[in-house]
Amino acid sequence: MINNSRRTFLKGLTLASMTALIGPSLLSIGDAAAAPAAGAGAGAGAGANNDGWKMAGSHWGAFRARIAGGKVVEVRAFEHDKHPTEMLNGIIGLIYSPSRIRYPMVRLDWLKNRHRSNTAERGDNRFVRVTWDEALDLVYGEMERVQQTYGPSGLHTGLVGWRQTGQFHTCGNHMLRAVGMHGHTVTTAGDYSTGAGQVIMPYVLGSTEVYSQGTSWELILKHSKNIIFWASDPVKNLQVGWNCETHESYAYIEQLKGKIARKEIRVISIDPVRSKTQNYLACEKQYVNPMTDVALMLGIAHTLYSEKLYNKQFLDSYALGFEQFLPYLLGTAADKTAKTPEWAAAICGVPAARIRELARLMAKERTQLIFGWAIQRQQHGEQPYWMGAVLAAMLGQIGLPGGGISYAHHYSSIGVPASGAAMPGAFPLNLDAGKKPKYPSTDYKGYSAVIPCARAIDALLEPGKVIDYNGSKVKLPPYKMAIYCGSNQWHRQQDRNKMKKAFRALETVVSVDYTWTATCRFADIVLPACTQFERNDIDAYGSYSNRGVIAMHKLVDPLFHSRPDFEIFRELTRRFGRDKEYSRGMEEMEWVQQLYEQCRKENGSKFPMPAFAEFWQKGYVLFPKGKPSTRHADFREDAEINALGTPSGFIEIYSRKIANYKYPDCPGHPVWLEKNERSHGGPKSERYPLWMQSVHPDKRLHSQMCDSEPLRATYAIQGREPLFISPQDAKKRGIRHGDLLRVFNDRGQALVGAHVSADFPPGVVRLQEGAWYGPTGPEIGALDTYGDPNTLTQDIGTSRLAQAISANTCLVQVEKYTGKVPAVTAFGGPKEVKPK
Amino acid sequence: MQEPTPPSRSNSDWKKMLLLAFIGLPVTMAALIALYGFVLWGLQVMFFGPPGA
Amino acid sequence: MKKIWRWLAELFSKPSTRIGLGVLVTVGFIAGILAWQGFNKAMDLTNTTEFCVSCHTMQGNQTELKPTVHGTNRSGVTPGCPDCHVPHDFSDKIARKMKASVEVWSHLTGKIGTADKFEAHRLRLAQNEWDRFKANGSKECRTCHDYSKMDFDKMRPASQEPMRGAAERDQSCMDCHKGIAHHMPDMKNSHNPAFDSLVQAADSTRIQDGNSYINALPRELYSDEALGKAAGRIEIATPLKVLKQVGDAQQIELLAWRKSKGYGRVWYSQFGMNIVVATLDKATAQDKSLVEVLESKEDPNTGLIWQKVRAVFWTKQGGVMESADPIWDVARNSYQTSCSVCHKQPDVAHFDSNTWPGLFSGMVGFTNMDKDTQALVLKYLQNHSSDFDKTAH
Repeated sequence: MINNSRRTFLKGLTLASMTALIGPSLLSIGDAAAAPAAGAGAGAGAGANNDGWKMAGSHWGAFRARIAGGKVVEVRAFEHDKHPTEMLNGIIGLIYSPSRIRYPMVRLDWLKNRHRSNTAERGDNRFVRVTWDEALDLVYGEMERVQQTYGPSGLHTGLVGWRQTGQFHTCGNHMLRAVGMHGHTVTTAGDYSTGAGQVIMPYVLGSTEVYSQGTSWELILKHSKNIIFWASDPVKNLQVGWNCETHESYAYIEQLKGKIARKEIRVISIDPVRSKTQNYLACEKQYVNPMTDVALMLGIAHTLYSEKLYNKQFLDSYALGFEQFLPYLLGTAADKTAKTPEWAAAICGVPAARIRELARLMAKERTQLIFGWAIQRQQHGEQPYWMGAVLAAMLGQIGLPGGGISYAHHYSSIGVPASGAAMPGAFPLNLDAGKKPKYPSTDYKGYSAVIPCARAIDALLEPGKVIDYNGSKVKLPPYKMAIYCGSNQWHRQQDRNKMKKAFRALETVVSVDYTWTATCRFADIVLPACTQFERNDIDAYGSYSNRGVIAMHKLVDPLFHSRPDFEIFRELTRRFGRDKEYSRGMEEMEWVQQLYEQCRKENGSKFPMPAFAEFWQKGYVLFPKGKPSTRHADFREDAEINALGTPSGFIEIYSRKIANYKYPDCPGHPVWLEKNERSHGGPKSERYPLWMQSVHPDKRLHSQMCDSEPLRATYAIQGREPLFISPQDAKKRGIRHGDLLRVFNDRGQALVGAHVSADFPPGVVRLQEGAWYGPTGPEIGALDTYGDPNTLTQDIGTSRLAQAISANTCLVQVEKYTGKVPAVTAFGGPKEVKPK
Repeated sequence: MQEPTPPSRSNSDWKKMLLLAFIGLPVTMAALIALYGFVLWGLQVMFFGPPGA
Repeated sequence: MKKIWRWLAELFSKPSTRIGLGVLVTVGFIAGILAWQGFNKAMDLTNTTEFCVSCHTMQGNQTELKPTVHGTNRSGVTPGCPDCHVPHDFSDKIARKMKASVEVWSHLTGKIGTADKFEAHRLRLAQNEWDRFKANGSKECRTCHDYSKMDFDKMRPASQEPMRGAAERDQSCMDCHKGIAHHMPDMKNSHNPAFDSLVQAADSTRIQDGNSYINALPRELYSDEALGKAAGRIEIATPLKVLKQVGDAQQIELLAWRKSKGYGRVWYSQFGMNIVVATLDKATAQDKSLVEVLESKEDPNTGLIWQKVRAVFWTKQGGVMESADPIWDVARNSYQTSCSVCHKQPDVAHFDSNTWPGLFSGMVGFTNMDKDTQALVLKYLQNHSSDFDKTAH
């Protein structure tokens, strides 16, 4: 059993931290001057003795790591990162986590009975260790069987999201290239983070907006008189980035704090809870009932219209469809309800007078609206985004510096101008030109080849069902095998118990990861990849600012039997004789060097980069600051030439295209729609009075780093994920800070730790997403021992338009847990068993 | 009756022959080839375009 | 003058009296041998790398070549200047040698005497060589690199497919392998080197008046034959009809759609689809004598009135091709490479032509594409969207 080796492992960990403690005083005498910033000799060529400082990059930023005795013993933020995240403290714990996958593992019953195994046993976490060759033979054999038996509609390659960073090793490309060489698969459209936003916004503002570079912070700070953070928490969310994060936005937020204190800018955070950003900025707050933002916006719009505060000229020149929207706003449409502030106040909990005040404030001076993503992860999540754009259009400041609307200033340092330099490419995801897969069939038997990612579980439960999606019909394919690589399906997808049932329809599940996530627990074959700190790579520094290129030195050799994804998938392709084509005959460092040289060539003399050897030694190359810009300024300047990407080229307050789809849950203009469950007097609130928000976590990147024990210890309560709850709600239930709680609804139940905080209003609790799922057993309804919010959330589409996730439409009840306390099962890997 | 051949005649025959064989004709040859080249180049510029395969 | 002619006539007509026929022929024969040998020697001497670089102008080129695979390599087999730059056929070689007089002249007058001056002319000089290679199918390269003797399986996997295709088409090496021996000239305006292939494809188009073509690259539109009055810009892959060609100019007809809202400056390829084919100046777009409105109808998806329009413009001669396929090849390549860095690129036919602009502009910030390439890729996506590809679900 694993316990024995785990103890040894923990001992090793203790030893490592001891080394870390004594290190500076004993081990590096006379080395004190060699600060990491000096770029003290790194990486290649260090020979057998790999100790010393090395450069690394991550979603959490760049850092230098000190290696001693072949272990990572110290992590220091990159010297050019002025606002490093606390999460760097979790790096060592991530590498040496007891949850690391050590060996290729196969689920016990699957090993016995293969694709005819008892799939109801999935989740019992009993696995058998196998060799790499056995494991890859099994995966390859299954791919062969599925392509031959079912064809491409039988195999699903899961969406790859927040893979570990590094442009060469980026695991999704490796998985999709290797599997793509073998045959076609069922793939996904959209993503979990911004599913509704990225579908609705192209109809309204002509771009996904959620991933678009926004107005530069310096222009916002210079021109804005009011900034409205609408359900946006940049101070929390800017800690992580899609590529290596630079944390440059924090400098501007710091300035903003000063401007608020000097009363130069007024900042209002419209949010049910007091966010980290609000606490940091010490800005104003506007409470709003959960999920009722659209009602509040309609109330503001009504005031703007009735008090003639809106910019008619802007609407005439730059927008279409205000006339079709007006009857709804004024109460002359079918519902015969004017969306007055009084009407809105009854729903959203903001007094009518305050709504009018907000409208006047926004119209009076330059106002920048900044939206977060969480409000589009709810039922009808398209509506708040659309209505936000309508509000911004009525204010008429779109295209002006410090005005208009942004949907992404909390993401990957958007708002820091791009340097203009080219960034390194990546390992090719596609097959090389002219190459065909081993199984070239594209016969999906009438099923859709691409499904909205959030409907992947529905496809297992109701294969063949035809659903609406963004103006087209999707026929859910009955896939029988799924491959997940560097993606934790059992974190991001809603409703665990529904998933448990659905996964029984899967014959074979493969998970490639570095750590034993719940997706591994519910898989049949698990392949151990190494972490990004155990391979050489390069990455862009700053996804949007393109600040530079960063070297990612291999800090230590892959732990246990783990391997880089590149090697895993090259070995897989070797099984059908296409490994050379897969790797193009190149090894890791050749690839890294080639990606660098291509980038260097592209940047030419405009952004000079040193030769590779010099770069690798130094660890980074930085580019100068770019020119600030204003979102949609070109459109405002000339709406005809610089037309928006909407069907008309203008801002579409009313979309005929959407109206023509005739979706009841997403009509032709933004509307207030009641949710299927809503707190504060909404449906089902009597039975489950608390709204549970599952926002992006403060000390994790989704589910990444949840397994980093030292970091988890800083926030977990009684070893469980904290549930943030208001003092009022706690008192009502006799709950004290630190208590063990059971949070539950009809869909599931989880054990959590009570974190009583005055930041939360009555009726609102927060369980941050990314908490690992640790059920007591494989049975449906089993108690989750750690506190994964998706044990409780519902798996429904936002609407027929986007079919995105609705995680934030979720009501729960909370009680003090009094039963026998089960141990946390989420971490520590599988139960290793010996086959008979 | 035979005309008296001036002694210079044989000398000049030799001179002429050598001049023609070693200077006159080689120079002419080079000149003609050059001319050919120039004509061809001219034709390429005007009509043919660059030489094909 | 007459004297010389008579002397020459006598020289050839009067038999020699004192020198025996045998001696004459023998001396002539020997002189012939020597002359021919001398000629060949001279040709060879002027066909050596040493001779080429004896003018210092050429020394820079040699320095550039050194670090490339054609300058130094593990087997030590390298070409000299003439191996690539002088035709191997007698006639072409002689013509080339005579052409070199220009180079000697440029050298003497100092036209390309310094590195900077050379750089200023590099594009023109390179273009001369590219044209030559284009015409002879890179014959000089292929004296060593013979398609029929290539073992494709031994190539790097990434090279195999393009090389197989090139061999099948008997393609000229220089179509792809530019700038491998000497530095690439600074190609102004077209940042994307793939666009060069479009320029070349357009160059080989035989244009006939009255036929329809595809515009190869974005460029200026004029309202007059003298190309003096700018009228706007025609986009890449825009279908057009060539009416007539006059010197450096050609008259073209554009048939397109536009929205009636605004000035009608942006023209689109299809009714109701935002696929931009041209953008006109304000005055031009409003000029009723220039722009003929053929029909008007309402777009059901936006409620805007669209007008079918026709106009005649002038452009520089050429720059058109018979098929848009080479353009789409370039675009497809860019799309697949640039858009798979972060995620799997969506199926092109998964969205319609009016949805693509919104999605594309939302994501393109992550890529390294320059403006022209962005416009090209977007156009590719739109033209291959679900509006056109009905096989998609």
